[in-house]
Amino acid sequence: MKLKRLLIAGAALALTAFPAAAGALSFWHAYAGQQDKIDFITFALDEFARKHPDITLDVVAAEQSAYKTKLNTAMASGNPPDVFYTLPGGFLNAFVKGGQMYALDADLAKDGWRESFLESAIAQTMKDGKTYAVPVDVDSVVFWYDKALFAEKGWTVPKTYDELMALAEKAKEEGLVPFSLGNKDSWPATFWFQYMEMRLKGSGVVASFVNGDAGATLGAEGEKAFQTIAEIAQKDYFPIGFNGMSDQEANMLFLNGQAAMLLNGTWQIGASADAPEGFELGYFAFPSVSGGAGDQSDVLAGVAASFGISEKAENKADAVTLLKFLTSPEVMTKYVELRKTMVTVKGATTEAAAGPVLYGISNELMNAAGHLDSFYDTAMPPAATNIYYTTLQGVLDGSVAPADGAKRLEDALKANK
Amino acid sequence: MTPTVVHRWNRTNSIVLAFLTLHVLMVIFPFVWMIYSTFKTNREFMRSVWSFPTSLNFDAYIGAWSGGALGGYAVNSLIVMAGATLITVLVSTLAGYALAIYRPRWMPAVELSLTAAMAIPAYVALVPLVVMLRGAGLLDTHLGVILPTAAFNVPVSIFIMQAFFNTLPRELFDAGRVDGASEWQIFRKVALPIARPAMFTVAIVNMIWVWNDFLFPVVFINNPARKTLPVGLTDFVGEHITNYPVMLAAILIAAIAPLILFIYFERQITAALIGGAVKE
Repeated sequence: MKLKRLLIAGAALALTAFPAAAGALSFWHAYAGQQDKIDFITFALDEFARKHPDITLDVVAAEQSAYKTKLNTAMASGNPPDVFYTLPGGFLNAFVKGGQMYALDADLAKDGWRESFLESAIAQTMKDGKTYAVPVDVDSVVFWYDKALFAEKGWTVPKTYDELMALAEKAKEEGLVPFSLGNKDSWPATFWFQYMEMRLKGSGVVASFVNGDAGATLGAEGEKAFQTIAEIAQKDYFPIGFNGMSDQEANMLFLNGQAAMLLNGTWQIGASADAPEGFELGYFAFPSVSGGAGDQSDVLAGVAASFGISEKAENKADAVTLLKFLTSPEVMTKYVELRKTMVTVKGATTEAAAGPVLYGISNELMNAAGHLDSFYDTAMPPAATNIYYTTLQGVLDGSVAPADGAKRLEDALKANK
Repeated sequence: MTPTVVHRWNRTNSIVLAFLTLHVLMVIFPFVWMIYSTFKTNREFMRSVWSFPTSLNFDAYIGAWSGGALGGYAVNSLIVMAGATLITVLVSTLAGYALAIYRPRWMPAVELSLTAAMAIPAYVALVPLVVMLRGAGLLDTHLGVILPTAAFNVPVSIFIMQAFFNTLPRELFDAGRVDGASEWQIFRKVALPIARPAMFTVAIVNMIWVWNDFLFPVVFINNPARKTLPVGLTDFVGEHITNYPVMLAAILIAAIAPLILFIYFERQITAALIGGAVKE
């Protein structure tokens, strides 16, 4: 009897769940889990509701890693949301190949919408001449250090790779971890490999594979790059057990002064907000490598996130209205202010909103860069990304020889899957 | 009065005691660390992970409780857990009994299909499940999580029940038949009362699985008001930035419901895990 009642109660509860009202625009995003993301999306959605009371949104939010699983399943089951957050590169291209993305070119041509974006940024959401998403923010990777610690030790910022290694040795002698690194999720170490490849061979290596260029190759530099970072690992310049440590744990070593430097993205500014008193965040460019064939001023920087519309969306006009609103200078400047992240909309990364560190990177480092090379791991197709990750982890822990690693990655990139 | 046993304090005892103490400290320390860390600010936490809080502040709890709607998530988790566990126990008891007692020639085929079903990873089934759930109008409902969860847990549970019924002497059931009881009466009056501890084992194992399950709820549930606890807890874990004291406070709050359940059912749980199959 009791069981029956419980079952009925369960069924009744389940029935109270009805689908979203017809006419509502479904909007999925990954601005969850950390306060600055939530602050931004709350601001944006409140403003949107105020300015467009006629458009009802059915919003679904999930934290980044859960979001990817959720969106992939929704797309694969033919039930995509109307408007959604997506990573550019391989992640987006998989949807484009499946014919699930709405091409935005006609809408971008109107009212100077396309011109409002940085060209280098919108190029990263294009595939075969068509634009399938609008880019939102740009992350760039630099070396981070604590100015107070460097001043106390009398260290200066290294300009060349040799100086960097000499500094690392000094830090190690002082009992510090020279470079903090938490590579559990595999992406943090990619910055090391990519910067070495950029310095040794040049920018655009992975892009040429993705575009299907016949001459695309990592070159002998691929092996050299793997070789170099394997040496850094062998010298114990990374923390003990770095392949099992998370990026956030590595950040903790850096913030509480146990590690001297950290090669990481511009999200480090937000991640350093709760640093202990006396900590003063500083940055320097990845140093030049003597004899390297690449432009030594190049910066690793890429579009981190974008918004797209599904081909199946019924009300494309409303969907475009939402995208235009989200990428308006007003909302984007607020994005910079709240998240301390550069955006893709021209002129929106203002000094006032960005603060000195981010503005310095945006205005000095990136403006002076010969090329901006976007993140290898997000640019390449998903299968190749997995091989890239496992190979890199193997090279770092010594289980994969640099030569084998380079061959494995080259093969994966040639397969272009 | 129980007779007192005089323990002689010797060296072996001290060594055993020392190891046990060390073990207990190692097991308890993470909990203690978690509790005192919740009273720190994130800044204190960043300065040193192990240090004690400088002052007792409850901001983390306030933040966790107000920001996360944890109470609602806990209710959702309970609904999903109760639903999936009830279905699984019901189906696996009946099926386990049938598999153990009735052995027509095609029964191995049934067992084989169950084993095959167990080999399917949940990840592979996600897309077809979403399509089916949407067709049935169950996407984004609790029932839509309960049914697939139960379906995935049923095969193992059936085998646990079957293994249990296999240990019972056949004479027990034959005696019932001689007395003229129907097959249903034999199941209901003879098998079921004896099977209670085994059913409890299945229930507990399932409760733990369902309570901790992340994949199905995160994919099938969209409405924030219907999220389960493991999904809800991701509200507190950022991609690059996490407020640790708040996250730890949220985990502690989330652990309250299972803790109460455990205290309430402690005797049955211990009994079930020991597997006292003998009816008293």
